[in-house]
Amino acid sequence: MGEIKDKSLLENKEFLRELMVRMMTVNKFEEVAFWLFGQGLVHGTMHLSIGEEATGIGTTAALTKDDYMLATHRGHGQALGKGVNINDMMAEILARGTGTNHGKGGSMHICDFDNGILGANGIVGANGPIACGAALTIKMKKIPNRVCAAFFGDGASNEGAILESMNLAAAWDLPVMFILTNNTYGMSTPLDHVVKNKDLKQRAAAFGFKAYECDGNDVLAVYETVKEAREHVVAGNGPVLVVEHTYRTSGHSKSDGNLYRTKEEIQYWKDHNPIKRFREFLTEEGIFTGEEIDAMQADADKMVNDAVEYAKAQPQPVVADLEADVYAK
Amino acid sequence: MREITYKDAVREAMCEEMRRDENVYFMGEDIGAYCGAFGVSKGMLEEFGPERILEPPISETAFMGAGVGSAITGMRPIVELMFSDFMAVCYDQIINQAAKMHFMFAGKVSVPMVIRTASGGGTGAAAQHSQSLEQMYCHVPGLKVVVPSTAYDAKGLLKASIRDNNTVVFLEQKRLYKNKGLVPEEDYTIPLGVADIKREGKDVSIITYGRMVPMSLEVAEKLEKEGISVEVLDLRTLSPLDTEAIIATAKKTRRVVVVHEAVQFGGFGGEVVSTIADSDAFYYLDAPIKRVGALYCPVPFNPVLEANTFPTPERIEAAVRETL
Amino acid sequence: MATEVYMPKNGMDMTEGTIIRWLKKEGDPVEKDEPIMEIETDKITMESEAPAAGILLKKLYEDGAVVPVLTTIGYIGEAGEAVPDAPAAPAASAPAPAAAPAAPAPVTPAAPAVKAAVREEGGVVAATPYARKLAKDHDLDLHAVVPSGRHGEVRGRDVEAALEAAPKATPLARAMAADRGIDLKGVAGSGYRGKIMSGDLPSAAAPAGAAAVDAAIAEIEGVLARYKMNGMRKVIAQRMFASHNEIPNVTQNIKIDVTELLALREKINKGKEKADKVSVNDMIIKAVAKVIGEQERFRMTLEGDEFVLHNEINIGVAVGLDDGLLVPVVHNVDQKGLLQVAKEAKSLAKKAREGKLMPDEMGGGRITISNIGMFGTHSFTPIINQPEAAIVGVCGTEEELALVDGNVVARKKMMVCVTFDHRILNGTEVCQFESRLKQLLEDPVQILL
Repeated sequence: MGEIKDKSLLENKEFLRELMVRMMTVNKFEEVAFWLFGQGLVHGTMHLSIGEEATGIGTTAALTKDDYMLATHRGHGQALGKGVNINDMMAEILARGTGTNHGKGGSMHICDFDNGILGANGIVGANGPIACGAALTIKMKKIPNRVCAAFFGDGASNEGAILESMNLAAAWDLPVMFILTNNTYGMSTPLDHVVKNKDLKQRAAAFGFKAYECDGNDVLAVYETVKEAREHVVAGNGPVLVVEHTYRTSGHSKSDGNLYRTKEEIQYWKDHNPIKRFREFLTEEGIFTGEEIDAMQADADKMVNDAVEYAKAQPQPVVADLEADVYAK
Repeated sequence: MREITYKDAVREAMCEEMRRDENVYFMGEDIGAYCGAFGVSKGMLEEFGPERILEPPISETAFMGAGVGSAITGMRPIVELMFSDFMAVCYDQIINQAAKMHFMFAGKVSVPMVIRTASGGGTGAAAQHSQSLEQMYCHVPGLKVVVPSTAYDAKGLLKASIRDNNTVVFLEQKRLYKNKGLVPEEDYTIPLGVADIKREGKDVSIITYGRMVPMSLEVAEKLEKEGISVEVLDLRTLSPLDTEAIIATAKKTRRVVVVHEAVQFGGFGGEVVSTIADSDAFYYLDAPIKRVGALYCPVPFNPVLEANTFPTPERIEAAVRETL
Repeated sequence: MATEVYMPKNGMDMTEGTIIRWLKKEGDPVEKDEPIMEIETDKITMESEAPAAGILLKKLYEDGAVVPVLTTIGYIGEAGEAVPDAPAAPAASAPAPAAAPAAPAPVTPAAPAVKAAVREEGGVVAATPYARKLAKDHDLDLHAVVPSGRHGEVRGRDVEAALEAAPKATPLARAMAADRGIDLKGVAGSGYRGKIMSGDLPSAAAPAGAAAVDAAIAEIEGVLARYKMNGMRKVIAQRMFASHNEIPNVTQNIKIDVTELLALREKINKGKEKADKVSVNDMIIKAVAKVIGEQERFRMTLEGDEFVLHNEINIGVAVGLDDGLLVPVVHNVDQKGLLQVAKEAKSLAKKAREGKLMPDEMGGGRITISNIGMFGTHSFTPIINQPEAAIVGVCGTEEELALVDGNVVARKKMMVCVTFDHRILNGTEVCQFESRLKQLLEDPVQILL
């Protein structure tokens, strides 16, 4: 773990516990979802972020409830961190009529507008322009202390939409936080196969705004970096880029055979996964005992298991409503 | 009522709605000092200032997406695309984002945005600046598609579109911008999804929209002198479609010619024909339904070639005669 | 407004008439009901009267023309009055109004120069959905419609025109016509205002393609000449064919001793002028009338699944002509004496030969007598004159030796051959008929009673 800039954090046990429980919940949620998938209870596909828990949880911990946030297709952690109800998200994963999207979106499109989650997006890079728009609203309505954070990955960083929106946000000084979670692979393609300059934070300099970078498997580093970057934005300095380096130990999706990387490589990152690292940090610093952390895991497990029970009991959506729901009234 | 141009009617609609609702703003390339490529937004920058008249970089995806993002967070953007052809540049934001959100997010959000754009040919602008792509938008559930043919309709439909809680693709006809028509000074809107009989007739119905409406009326007038009574139905809104009006006119005259400027093959006319064939109007048909659309080729530059690409009064007249 | 002169319809079977000759020239003044032309129907020649007074303005057809009934064939009006030049179709759709100057022309394009045949593929007539719907709603066969579509398809307006022109017919008649492939246009209706009833239909249509086959055969066989059937021949052919085809007929013969009958006839005719003499046939008429008066089943006709009993005792008498056959009818024979019957029969036969029979002199027969005895025929199987139940064929008289009280004597014998409709009558009933007839003719005084 890196150096803690704000030492007072170490005294905020409740906050640290919350970070841990959330990471554990995301991890458990995805493992259970994956298991349900294997049982045939989840259809379609889903994208897991196991190994990347610190990015979603650390980043969103630094945002306010009112901040806008646009999640990626790999967004369970981003959504849980931003406050989505776990029961509703699990119900959506099981395609129930009471899920976050009433069974019409699924894993790739979790939304919760009450908590500023403007929807997870299945189109790589599409979040950038939309984030500019949400930020434009903040600017035009002169809403104080609010930003729009747009998650995207190393793969999306080469989308024109992202580059265009970086320029637009910069040109108009929009309060956009471009959150680049570099999980090393764009699906199966390593970053160095598709870029000449692997230093992604330099993208910001090209457009004239500030970039931040952190160890994406260190939840406290992520939190502190984003918090600092957010302050820069709400001060009226325009957008920022935050690059969070992490590693996806799960496959890209259910169909991933992991043929593009070695078992050793995966094992290395499993050994350095953010939950394990945070646990070691918390016990080494004497903040929590192993038993206390086990209890956190038990809480997270229960939350997820309860969510599964809740979701399974939820009704299927109604076919008759389909066409009626196309247009807004 | 006074006579104003189609272009002025569009501007009046925008200005009136911006005065009425502070959440309405206008964004597009070169719409400020330049007043837009067709001069539609003349004087708007002066009245509303740069805070509400936004000129983005030439980044259609970025500013179309910005329209979407602002719409889902409380604004009501009017986004101008200089040419409708440029939609291809920002297709994702329209098709995958704006059109989907309301449904995909379980009705928890709507995207009240108007995409205004200059559509159609006849200006010598060649293949990338002359298309009529309305059919592509009609095929995407969630979008509304409006094609006004008169100044009166342009204003009433645009005001209704701005007040609509959905994304409306508003296809202005660049060759009609200078056409004048009677437009009331008082506030009015024209509901979306309602077609308009521009001319009553009893022998043949021309079902059309946009630039082909005045051309069809011209043909109808000519044929009237021969005793051929042509009804001209202006669809005005393609999606949602006024199927009742289509079926009614088909049953009334029993002969139908569908006219549009867009390429005939795979064009919206096919939907109109299907609407009739799929209804009990089928039993009333007394002639094969004729379609008149553009040839299956990109719009060429040479003026003679271009004129021959699109429907002409002669081709429409011939199609009408075919049905008799 | 000029008054149209129509080809009159003078009988239920009459579908066309021949203008034998006009009695007036164009420009001649005519009185109402004044004969203006002679026409020939399938059965008779008659004069036709002027429907109005005025000038015969126009003859649309010349002498010799064969014209469908109810077709306009001329105009009577005031001198100088304009009348159409072209003949109009019989009761067809109103002729297209002549385009008045400055008035918009009707939408309907010019009618095709050649009367188009229905376009058909795989038995399906090319027609617009509207035309199809109209035809279906009105039970009209699209084959009967003249198409005006650009591609030979039937349009709605064509069906509308056909419906206006189409003969009115009962649903049963229409269904039967469709079933038998009969074009109702060629059928004369006997119902109210010419409505076609099921009974008006010719019994069956000639098989399609027969003409082509005939032509081929004629070529092979070296045909000398061809003669057009006249109206009467057509009707005879139609009637004979129908009778032969439709009726399950049986002929039963009986030999009758007419020695006494001939003797009685000789007594009756003694001293009479030739014109007043009674024939054997007249006596048979009386005898048959007596039998069918007693045996009512012989006065029945068959209509659908109903037997209809008639009360009048009218006897048809077949009269052979040079080129045809007519059956004038002696009405109410039971109420007339033998001499009266003989006089009427003679007069009717004369009229028949002269072509002067009126329609009512040929209708209402209950049974027909066909007598070919003068040719010495031994026996034959006459064909029933529909809708009658039977026909009585009378043969020649032959002398036979017979045993009477042990003595061989010469007797005059005659065969009577009764063909009957086995749907109405059965064999026993005909046996009873024949034996009663035999009884009467062998004891002829009973005929006179």
